[in-house]
Amino acid sequence: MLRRSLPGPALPSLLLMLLWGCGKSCAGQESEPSPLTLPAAGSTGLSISDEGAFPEAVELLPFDTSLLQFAGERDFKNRYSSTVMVNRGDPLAGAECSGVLIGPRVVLTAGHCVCTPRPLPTARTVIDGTSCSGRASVTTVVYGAVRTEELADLRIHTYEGLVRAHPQFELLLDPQQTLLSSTADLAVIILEEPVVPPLSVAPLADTEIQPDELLVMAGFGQSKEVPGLFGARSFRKNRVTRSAAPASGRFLYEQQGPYLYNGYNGGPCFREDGRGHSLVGIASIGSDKELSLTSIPFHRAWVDVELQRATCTRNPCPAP
Amino acid sequence: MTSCFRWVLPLLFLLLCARCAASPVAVEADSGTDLQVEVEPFAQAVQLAVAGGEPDLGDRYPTTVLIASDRTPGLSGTPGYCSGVLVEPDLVLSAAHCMCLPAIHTAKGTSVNRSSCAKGVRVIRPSYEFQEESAETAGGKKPRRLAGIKYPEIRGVPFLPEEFRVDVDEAGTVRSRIADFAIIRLQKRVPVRIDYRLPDREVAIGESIVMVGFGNMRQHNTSAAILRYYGDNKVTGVRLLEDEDNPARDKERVEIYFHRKKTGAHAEQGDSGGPCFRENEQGRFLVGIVHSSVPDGRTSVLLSTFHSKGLIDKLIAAARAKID
Repeated sequence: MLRRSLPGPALPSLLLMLLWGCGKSCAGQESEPSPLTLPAAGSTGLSISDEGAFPEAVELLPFDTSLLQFAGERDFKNRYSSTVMVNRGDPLAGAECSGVLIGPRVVLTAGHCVCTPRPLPTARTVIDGTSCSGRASVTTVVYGAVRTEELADLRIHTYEGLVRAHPQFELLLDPQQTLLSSTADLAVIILEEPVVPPLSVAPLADTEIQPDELLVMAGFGQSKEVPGLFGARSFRKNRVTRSAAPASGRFLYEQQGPYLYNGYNGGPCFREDGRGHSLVGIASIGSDKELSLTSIPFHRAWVDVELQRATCTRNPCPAP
Repeated sequence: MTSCFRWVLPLLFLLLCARCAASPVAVEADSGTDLQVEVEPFAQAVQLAVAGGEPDLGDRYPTTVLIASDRTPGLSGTPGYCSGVLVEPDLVLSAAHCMCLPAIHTAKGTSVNRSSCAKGVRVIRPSYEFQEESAETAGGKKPRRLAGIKYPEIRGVPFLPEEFRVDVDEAGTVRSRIADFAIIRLQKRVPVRIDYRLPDREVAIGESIVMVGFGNMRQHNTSAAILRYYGDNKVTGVRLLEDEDNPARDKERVEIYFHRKKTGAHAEQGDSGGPCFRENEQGRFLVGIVHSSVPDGRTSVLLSTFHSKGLIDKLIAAARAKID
């Protein structure tokens, strides 16, 4: 039946049938299947010469994970399980930022991860402590059996917490979102309940970051170019180049390899030595030219106050 | 079915829903009268839109699996992830190109056939565990929280049609695929009930179709998830694509377009091979597998299983005939 209904191969293009009867079911929310009608021989179907009515489909390829190499190596051995996902929205949507446990109830992250940019009259954008979320969620991840290069069984736990940005936190961005200035890009999230073992808490480093020092960055990386995988924690080594400005508490670092990966926002930077690793910095917002981190030894006094406040059981806690 | 479409001539059938959407497009009728036809404004947004749908944490689509192909021997590169659907406890239906990623990446200006595709795959059916909610939330309704994901895997061997072919142009863009179906025979059976049937009719314009897959769910352009998602779509077009070289292959190239509704899903990388179901009072029917998508972030394309039943049956027979 069908073959008889079709014109010969000389007819180059296509036949357009308009199904008048489907209007109702298309427009409505409820589905009301209408039968598919193939054009009958000699039908008065409309013919158009332009194929453009059908959108050009892009052939879907398998999900290619090769770009993940720029995010580093997967932490399937749970070496950096103190590194957590930070979300203001749905945690299942993937990490908006990373953070690090520095106490059973305290997560350290970047201020820009939990505070919202505000436009300034000068066409610049500011992110500071006046527009922070009250709450954020923190998701811990511990890996089990490793299945593929990218996939391991995982146990996750999501905690809710209160956000407190560093009192001096301020980022200034130009209209192209390039960083103009950055001060104390830090915030803590105080969890409602302490995390449960086997999660580790990162010890704080006592001495300041040095130029040329090789640090380990960890996070649930994601960037525009390299999409993160849900729950996939990565780490990699990066070399500190220099202090961004004297006594700024901000350091620039470089990445080995051809691609500048900015996906570890809010994640920890560890110093590793024979005794293990200690937290020296938090990855800050990345402009397209350079990667920067905020020094923890530089802001240690504020960190200690927040750690102490989190251990206090009275409400409100006395000022330190 | 097979003979019915054997002589289909190089033609495209195009069925468009008349009143689906927004902007009016003038279409000239045979009679010469201008008809105002409203169709969805295609390709307005070029960016990849937020992939809609919701995570299938309740195991609503237990037959939908994740497929990680092996590296093809002799080729370097990342194999990649796709979706598929169990058609029997030890057989998975997917898209053939899912087994051929390193080859497709390097095949500039040439074609890829089944000889350069993976000879083995891992089929993974994730299982979820949930966090116990504390008693204080008893009053308010709080969504269940994920507490763990297990990715149990079973090895399998893919069977690809002899006529399967992917054409890649000089720029490295995939231009066309033929017979893009694969059946994977698993080393052991998956303990799952096949909760759908194959359809006895083609999908219809305006019909609601559920798309399921493990695609790279991009939100805010940055995040990906290896979680099973599903979402509802409406079919907006059906067309039969020509294959000038071999008209007999036309039957494998039925494309069915659909647009997502506000809450619908959109196919992304990794959704390829995932199932599309019709769901009604008669039950659930596997009407197609995800094939491609339009960069407008609204339109996805599936290959019809109803139309390609002959080819799928042939692959199943080949997989069954193999003696381990």
